[in-house]
Amino acid sequence: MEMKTTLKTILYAEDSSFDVELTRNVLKKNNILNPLAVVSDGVEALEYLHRTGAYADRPRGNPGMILLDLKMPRMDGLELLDILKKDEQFKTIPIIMLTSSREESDLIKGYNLGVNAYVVKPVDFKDFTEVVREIGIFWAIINEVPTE
Amino acid sequence: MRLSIGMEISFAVWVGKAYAPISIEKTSGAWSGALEAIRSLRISWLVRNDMHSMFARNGMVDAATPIIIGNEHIANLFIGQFFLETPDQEYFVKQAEEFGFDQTKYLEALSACSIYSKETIYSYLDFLRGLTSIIGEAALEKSRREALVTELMEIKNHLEATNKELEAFSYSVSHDLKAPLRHITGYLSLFQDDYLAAIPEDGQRYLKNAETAAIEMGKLIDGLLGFTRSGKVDIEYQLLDMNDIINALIKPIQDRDTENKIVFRVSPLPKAYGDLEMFKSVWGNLLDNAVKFSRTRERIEINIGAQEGNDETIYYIQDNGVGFNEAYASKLFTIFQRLHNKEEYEGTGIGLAILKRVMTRHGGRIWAESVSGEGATFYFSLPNRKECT
Repeated sequence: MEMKTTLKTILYAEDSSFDVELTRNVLKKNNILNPLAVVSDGVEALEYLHRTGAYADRPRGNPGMILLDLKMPRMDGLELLDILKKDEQFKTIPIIMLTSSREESDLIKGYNLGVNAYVVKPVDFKDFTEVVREIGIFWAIINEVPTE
Repeated sequence: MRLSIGMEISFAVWVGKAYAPISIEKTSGAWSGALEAIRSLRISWLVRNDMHSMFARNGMVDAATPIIIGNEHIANLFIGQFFLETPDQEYFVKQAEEFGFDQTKYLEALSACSIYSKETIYSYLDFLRGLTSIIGEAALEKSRREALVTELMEIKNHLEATNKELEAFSYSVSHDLKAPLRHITGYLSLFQDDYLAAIPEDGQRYLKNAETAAIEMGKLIDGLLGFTRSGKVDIEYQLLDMNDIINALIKPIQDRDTENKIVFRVSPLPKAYGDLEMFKSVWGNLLDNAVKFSRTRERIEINIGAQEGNDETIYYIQDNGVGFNEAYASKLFTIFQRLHNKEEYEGTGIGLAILKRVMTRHGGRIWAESVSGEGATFYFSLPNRKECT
């Protein structure tokens, strides 16, 4: 019950520290104050979710939303998406792909793997702000994830 | 038929069937018996110069003719062994004695050997040579075709590999090049949000310009990727109702035109076969251009029509805008070429290049006419198909 009043963590898998800082700023400016857990690739994201490695001591509980960059070292966004959507434990977590790519094949692959939304990061930062604001509000605040 | 055939390639001789029992009788080493005949071998013409024959001293003859395929002497065809005249029995009895052969068997083998006239040999050789050439040419043709297929496959594989590389390149441009651009615009925007007040007016303008330039570069990259994609995406042919396409595109333009400045006159247009999405972008682009380059006019008039010819249908869109200098008309459709100042008329210089590519891929053409200051007319043609009527 107390979880309801706490803002759910957003897990953000992104290898670019610039993107992380910019996104963090945009979320803050839009009053999306959910805690942001940043991991640099798919492997680290799995460690976070499974509470292993550097994340062995983090409190229990799944993030309320996962923001996923497409291209990352070791394990990219599509690979991670595939694993998570097949995992009973994680498949209900909304996943939003954030990427610079407009390549159709990625888009189709993403949807086939069950991504909840797919956002092409616009070069115009004002558009980017708008995008992050909208997905943040919808998925991190409004959307109710089925209770486990 | 007693005649046996052998083919010699690189001096490997297959000795005829009848020859073997005579020459290699009582073998004491495979070829020792052959000496009997071969040591006195002489090669001479059998009258015709397209045939060689070998005469052994014992009177046996082996005839050969060259096999020429694709103008190349690739082998010799042998027939043998035979006699041209009835063999001298006495001579062979002596031979058997001299070389220690079993006389009965030797003479039996001899009697099994055929006697042919020169004419018969000629006709055999002609027939066999003809047959060999036909088979050889056919085989050569087959191998030529196979070589051609192999070559085509190699080209195809090479093209596929190049395409893959190009796709990877597009991907890289799309992702890797745009990411730093996004960071530039992002940090410029953050900087302006947080510290603009502390910067003198000139500095503010510099920042704004840097941001505008970065956003512009983003559009150029997107345009370039769109141009690449326009050549890659498969065309899905369907019957297009051009009037439907145009009406759907005009609607939002009219909605935005709150002052009712724009007058569209659209004639009934012939239907055509083409890719719906591509033609939406063709008409969309032409309409946007017509409006954009006429925006200084008090009243914008845009006429759309078509002319049906025997082989092709020409569609046109005419505006009363600023037009362009016709001397540069060919440059209009080249990527990144612009005929107007960017600050006056925004744009990337990619739209018409994409249109040209779309038209070319549809087997059509695109061109434009104008008198500077008096509007422009853009035409495109599509080849007629019987199904269109």
